[in-house]
Amino acid sequence: MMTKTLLCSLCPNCCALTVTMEGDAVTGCTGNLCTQGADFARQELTMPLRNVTTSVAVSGGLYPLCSVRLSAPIPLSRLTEAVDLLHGLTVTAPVAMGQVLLEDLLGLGVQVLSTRSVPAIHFCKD
Amino acid sequence: MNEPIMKDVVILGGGPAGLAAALALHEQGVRDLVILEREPEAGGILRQCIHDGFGLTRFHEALTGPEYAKRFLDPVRAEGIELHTGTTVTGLTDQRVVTAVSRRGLTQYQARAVILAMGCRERAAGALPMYGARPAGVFTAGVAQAYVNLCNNMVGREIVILGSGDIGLIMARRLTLEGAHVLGVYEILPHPSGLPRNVTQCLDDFHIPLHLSHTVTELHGAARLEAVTVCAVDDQRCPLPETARRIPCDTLILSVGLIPENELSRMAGVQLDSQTGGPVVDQFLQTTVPGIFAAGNVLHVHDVADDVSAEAEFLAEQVVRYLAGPLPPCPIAVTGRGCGHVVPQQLCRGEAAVLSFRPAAPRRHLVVEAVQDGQTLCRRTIPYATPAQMVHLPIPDLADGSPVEVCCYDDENPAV
Ligand SMILES: Cc1cc2nc3c(=O)[nH]c(=O)nc-3n(C[C@H](O)[C@H](O)[C@H](O)COP(=O)(O)OP(=O)(O)OC[C@H]3O[C@@H](n4cnc5c(N)ncnc54)[C@H](O)[C@@H]3O)c2cc1C
Ligand code: SF4
Repeated sequence: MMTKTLLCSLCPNCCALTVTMEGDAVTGCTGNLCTQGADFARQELTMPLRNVTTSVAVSGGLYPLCSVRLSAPIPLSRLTEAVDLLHGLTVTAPVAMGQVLLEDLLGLGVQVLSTRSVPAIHFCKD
Repeated sequence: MNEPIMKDVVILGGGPAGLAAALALHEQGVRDLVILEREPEAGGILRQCIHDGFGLTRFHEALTGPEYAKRFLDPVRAEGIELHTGTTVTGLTDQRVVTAVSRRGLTQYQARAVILAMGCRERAAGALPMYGARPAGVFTAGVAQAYVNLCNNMVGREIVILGSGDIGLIMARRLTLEGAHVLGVYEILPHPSGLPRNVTQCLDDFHIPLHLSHTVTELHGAARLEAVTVCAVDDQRCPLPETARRIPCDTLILSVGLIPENELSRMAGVQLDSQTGGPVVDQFLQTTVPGIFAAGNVLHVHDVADDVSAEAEFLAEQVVRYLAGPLPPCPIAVTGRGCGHVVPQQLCRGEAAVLSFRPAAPRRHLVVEAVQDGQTLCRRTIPYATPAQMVHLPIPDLADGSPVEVCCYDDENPAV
């Protein structure tokens, strides 16, 4: 048996959780003021989830970048891979806020969403 | 110059405070108002905060900064509220004459009420006791954030961060994701200044070390930063020279505090509070100059935008009252013990209010009370409180005119 401590970050109470684990399974949790704390600890210690916010390149836009986030959090272990993929992505202006820029990121079933709008610029060709 | 344009309300700044105040005023029937914003777009600091975590209280969603701003900007546009971007306010008088500069030239407004919503700026290198050269490669966290998130310019490769405020923590993660190597975050206090959630998700997730009770004492390099000297500090925050270490790096990011932006307030003769850096206000958020009100980061530094919006909406209600007639006098002074500062600083008799403050240090089981003439007016126990999170304490209406003191202490160690 092993004990671990962590802070619950679901609300400002920031409970100091003490968690007991058998192998990979969480067997007990103390210090939580509400039941959500135990669920949080189980998730954090078995498969922590994170959203990713970064930017992707835009071609032909008023701004060089478009900020993005995911429609749902993904496992922390896949975060670097996700960021690498997003950095390789270039989208074409115009981009609307909330537009889906990638349908299924790394087969994880989450979408990449734009969090700003980038109007297109039109160059005069003469 | 032409005659001043008459307005019921002129709002200085189009960040979350200015936008929320304008919308609330409009909803309550005040139509003769204008927002003046210096940047080419409204939204304030939120425009560059592409991380999520905004709107958790208000919308029960983790929005990014631009998404949060849009929730206010869309209705401002839909309602046709007058908003001038690219317009910098350069003058304010105690008679509420506002001077603004834009490409169209100089414009003056005569306002019945003015709302200060100019936000804050970052403390920069010049304010810190650091020896050595002044090479390129030293940025405040917000400036680095604007470079990376708005302009697509990377600030450096080998990065040291001084200060563990939320912006510094967010930038540690942001720069790591952009391929930089963040060597460590150095914090002079014995505890992190940012939210615990940000310590976990911005530092621990990426194995970025956090060195508490440490500071940067010297910069090295000629044209570009080449290294910094870091030192441990004693409990008086004095560097211990025997602990000095030289850390090669090309960039230093400063996240060492925000200063409310009050040049205009000063110009109008508004009294400032040396602790908050913002105006002294009464419980209606009116400054010491009648008809000039303040909300958001210009008043005191907030950690969450949701709080800023709520404060600005409360302020709008008070401005509506003010436009109908003067607000009650607020002669009752408020002070704090065990907390940095208390806003508002002045209270009136016979009307309930909400006090905002931060505990001096992180505490479990923080007890906060408001005391008048040795009598406890109200009391709240908070399971966990840190200076990174503002605390609010509603207090009942006061019958008596003597000063009110807010006391913060933990259950086990009553206040000294
Ligand atoms: C980097 C950073 C990260 C943050 N992260 C979070 C987070 O994750 N979650 C959260 O809830 N909150 C977060 N916050 C806090 C929140 O964003 C701020 O508290 C909020 O933006 C303050 O709003 P404001 O309207 O008072 O000021 P600002 O947003 O600063 O807006 C002030 C506006 O006034 C304008 N202005 C100033 N002077 C003049 C002038 N003379 N003439 C015309 N216009 C002028 C400025 O251009 C600006 O647009 C963060 C803050 C920062 C700085
Ligand atoms: S355990 Fe419950 S009360 Fe405690 S921090 Fe988590 S969500 Fe909040």
